[in-house]
Amino acid sequence: MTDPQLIRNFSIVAHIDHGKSTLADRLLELTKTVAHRDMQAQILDDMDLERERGITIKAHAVTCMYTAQDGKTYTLNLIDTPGHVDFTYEVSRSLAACEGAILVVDSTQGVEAQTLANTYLALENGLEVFPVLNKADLPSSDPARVLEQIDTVIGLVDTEHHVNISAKTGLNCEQVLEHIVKYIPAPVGDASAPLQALIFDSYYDPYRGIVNLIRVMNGTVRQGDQIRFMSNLSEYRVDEIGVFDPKMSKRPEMSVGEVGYLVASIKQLADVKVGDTITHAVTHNTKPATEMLKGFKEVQPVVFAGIFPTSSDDFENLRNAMEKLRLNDSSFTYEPETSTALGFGFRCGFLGLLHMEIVQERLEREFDLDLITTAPSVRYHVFLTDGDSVEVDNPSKLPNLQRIARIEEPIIEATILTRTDFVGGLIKLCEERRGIQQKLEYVSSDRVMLVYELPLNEVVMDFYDKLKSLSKGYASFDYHMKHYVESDLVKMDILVNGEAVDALSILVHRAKSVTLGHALCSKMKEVIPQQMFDVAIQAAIGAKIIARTNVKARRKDVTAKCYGGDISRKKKLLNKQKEGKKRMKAIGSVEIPQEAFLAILKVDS
Amino acid sequence: MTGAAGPVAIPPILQPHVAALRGAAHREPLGLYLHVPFCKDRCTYCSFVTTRDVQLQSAVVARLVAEIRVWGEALGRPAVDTLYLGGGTPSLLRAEELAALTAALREAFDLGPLVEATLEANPGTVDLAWLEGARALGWDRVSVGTQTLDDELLARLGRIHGAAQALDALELCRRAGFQRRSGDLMVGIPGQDLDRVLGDARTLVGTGLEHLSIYLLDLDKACPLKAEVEAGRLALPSEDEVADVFEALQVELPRLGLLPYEISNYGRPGAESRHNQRYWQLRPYLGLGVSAASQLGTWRWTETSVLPAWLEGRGETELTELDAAESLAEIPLLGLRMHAGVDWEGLRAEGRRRNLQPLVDSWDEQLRVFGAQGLVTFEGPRVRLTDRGRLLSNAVFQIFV
Repeated sequence: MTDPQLIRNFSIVAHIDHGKSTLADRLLELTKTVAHRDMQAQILDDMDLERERGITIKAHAVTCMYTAQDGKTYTLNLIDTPGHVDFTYEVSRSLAACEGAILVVDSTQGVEAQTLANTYLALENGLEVFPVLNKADLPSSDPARVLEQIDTVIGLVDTEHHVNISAKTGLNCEQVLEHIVKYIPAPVGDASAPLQALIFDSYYDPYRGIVNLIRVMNGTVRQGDQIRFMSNLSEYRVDEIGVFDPKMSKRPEMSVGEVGYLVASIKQLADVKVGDTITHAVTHNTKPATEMLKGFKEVQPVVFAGIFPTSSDDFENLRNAMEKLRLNDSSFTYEPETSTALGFGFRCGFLGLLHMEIVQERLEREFDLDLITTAPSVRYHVFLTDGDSVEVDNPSKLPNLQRIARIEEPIIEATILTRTDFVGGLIKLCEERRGIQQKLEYVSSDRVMLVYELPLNEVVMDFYDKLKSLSKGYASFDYHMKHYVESDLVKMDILVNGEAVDALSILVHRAKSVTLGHALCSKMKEVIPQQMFDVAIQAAIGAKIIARTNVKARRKDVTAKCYGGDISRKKKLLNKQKEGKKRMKAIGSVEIPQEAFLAILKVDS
Repeated sequence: MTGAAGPVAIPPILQPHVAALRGAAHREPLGLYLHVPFCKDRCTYCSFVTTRDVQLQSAVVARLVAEIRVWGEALGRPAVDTLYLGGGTPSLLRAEELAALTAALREAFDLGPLVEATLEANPGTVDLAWLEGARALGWDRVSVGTQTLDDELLARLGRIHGAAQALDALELCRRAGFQRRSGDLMVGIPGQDLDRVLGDARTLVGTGLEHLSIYLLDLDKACPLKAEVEAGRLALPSEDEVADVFEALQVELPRLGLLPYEISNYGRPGAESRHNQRYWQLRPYLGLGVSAASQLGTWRWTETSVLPAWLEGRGETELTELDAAESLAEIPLLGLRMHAGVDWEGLRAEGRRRNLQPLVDSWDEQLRVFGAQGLVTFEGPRVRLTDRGRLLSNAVFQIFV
């Protein structure tokens, strides 16, 4: 057992591209956790998707040994966190297992919206936070200005103990380790008390089953112990415990302050809930704790969409895939849904659009599925004339208009940090999206913070991409739910050859419906390929058609020349055409490609 | 100059099947295709295997002669009823080279049942003496690559001749004694005035030719014209325009006496290309030369398309054996290209015989849907494409792959 005085548990909070993963790499290298020759860039981001997108999606934990200047050897547990707004919940999970956090800010850029949000989160959790100003090697680095921003917008961070580093060259990274030892408190707990260990993450390993990432708060857990999950009282025997250094390394026991993994032949995926407390079962020498750990706020999905298999044969595979993914990503919810147009699938809840994209991509890649995702929706409060109310996150499930008294939609408070020269464009974007300005503040001479109230249903429609392109990437965005307000919303249906396609219905503000209807129809015309017959596409509100367009029938699809030498090649071409068709969904006799269901995200409105 | 380098032999991949191939070759007369891979210049839309290196010509001919002999012997001198000399530009062969090839054919194969011997000619390469020589050797049908009668477009296509020269060539062929002459027209060339295509068709038919092929410019493989189009320097006519012209020709050519018998082929009654029809009727053919394709029994193979490798006898031959379902599927896949259509009742019976009833049932079901959409029509025991269906035939053919 390690003396808790020699343990430091910390996270790194940073905006995308500000150098969090590179700094983590340097720390692993300096502590010889990973030999330099084995180093691959961004070792913590081991999911393919993470490396490709340059972001961290999942939390990771790694244990390093560091001999500090005081001559003592410390166990440093780095619990990595994602930086994107959609993954705030992952951040709060990681933070619950730590005593401190490093706030990494790119000293050539400045404080960004997510850094702000995550730092607040760390401070709220009572963590000790010190700033690290990265990219000190670049000529445009301006640490003084960035420190001023931290003081202005965050205020509570101890800027006195900052370090100017270059994670890329390694400059001053050793000093970061010293700061961790000096300024981050050691964990406190009672090793002889009943066991309380927090599950802050879990994932499914095809060889070991469910792997839990845990932080021991009190007590000691040993291999072979009989343990209990406090939320559902299910009990298992511990097969193996250990740490990630960074590979899985077995340990005989884990005690106060230690961070690592626990494997217990858990068969029921449902038994494991991230945020749960593990304690001992009642045996001749162990007894359970009486209280659960505080855990962390369970996050509620705010964006909803249908996910359907392109081929109906894949429904069961999709269900299995979702069950496995959900274990690793408890923020994602799903329940069976039937669509007239798309058949059997699931209505899924996500934390945001990026989360939705990532879930879809993970399902397709890790489970080899072909999927159709419908347009994202938010959750509306619908008040009925009979005094009842229902929550609706699927526009096609909106009750009959005659029964609706009023609809309330969710409003968020959005914080945008950007360069002064982009403020005009971003204000215009927010106004177009029915935003109401709450605040406009200069955080330093060239940096502005905008705070807006925005309807979430406007934000899920491609707001983030628009924001990025308007600001050439120099705007960051974060939000939290504020409240629900009544709004004049209408359901817009899309009719294909006269048939309403339930999976294409959306709720829109009445004032924007006609413009949006036209834009959506013309976008659909672009993405729906020509068929053997004319295809009419109409947007309708109730019985009233507000926009229409036609995809003209295809007239020519012929291979004019086909002699002996051409036959094999022509067959290959026909096969390719046929495969392309398979990836489309037949609505009646019209073949509709996957992207048509998300066309709403691509319209200019 | 390279001599006929490598040994000429039946490709190793085919050797285990020679006995079966021989059996197939004697069930009915074969068609024989020879590929002559030379061109004076490459057309901008062409993706065929051709070369401008005339240095190789005698080596290629020598190797073709050797292939003819080897195959004739391996198959036991089977009967051949159609010959087709294609390319490339067969009219670039010297008179004595053509004579050598023809003599080898007569020696190695039984040309007794021969009913048609076609050679392709480029209008920019023919003269009367050469044509008379070919006619005297027994070649009786000529296919002249006319393409269009618009000089500007001919230049754009990289053709080595003008419109007047094409008409002259057709006249030379007639004078040389070729009763059977075919021309071709291409629809959909960038910058093509589509109304003029009909005029070109009338002019060509006016020369008395008996057969015309209508091709749609197809840029699915890499070629200079494709690059020009993709770079935005040239624009293809719209799908609607091309479809209009193709449809107008379907009306106009019969009026001029040339009846359609396949998606892109029109002829006076009795003047249909017998050789080409075998491709759509799945009747056996042997193709010799670089990139040439053959089908005998259930085997289909293609010689290497790399000319130097072919010359040295070290190219890969691609072989596929069609299984019962695939060969059954090819009957409608290719057969529906013909205006006569397919004997659907016969096909159903064949399906039952091969234990493939469910497959045929699924085709049947899908064809009925196309029937409702007006793309195919069932007439008695036969099914065939409608005029509209021909233009959309890939959609129908997809059900057979």
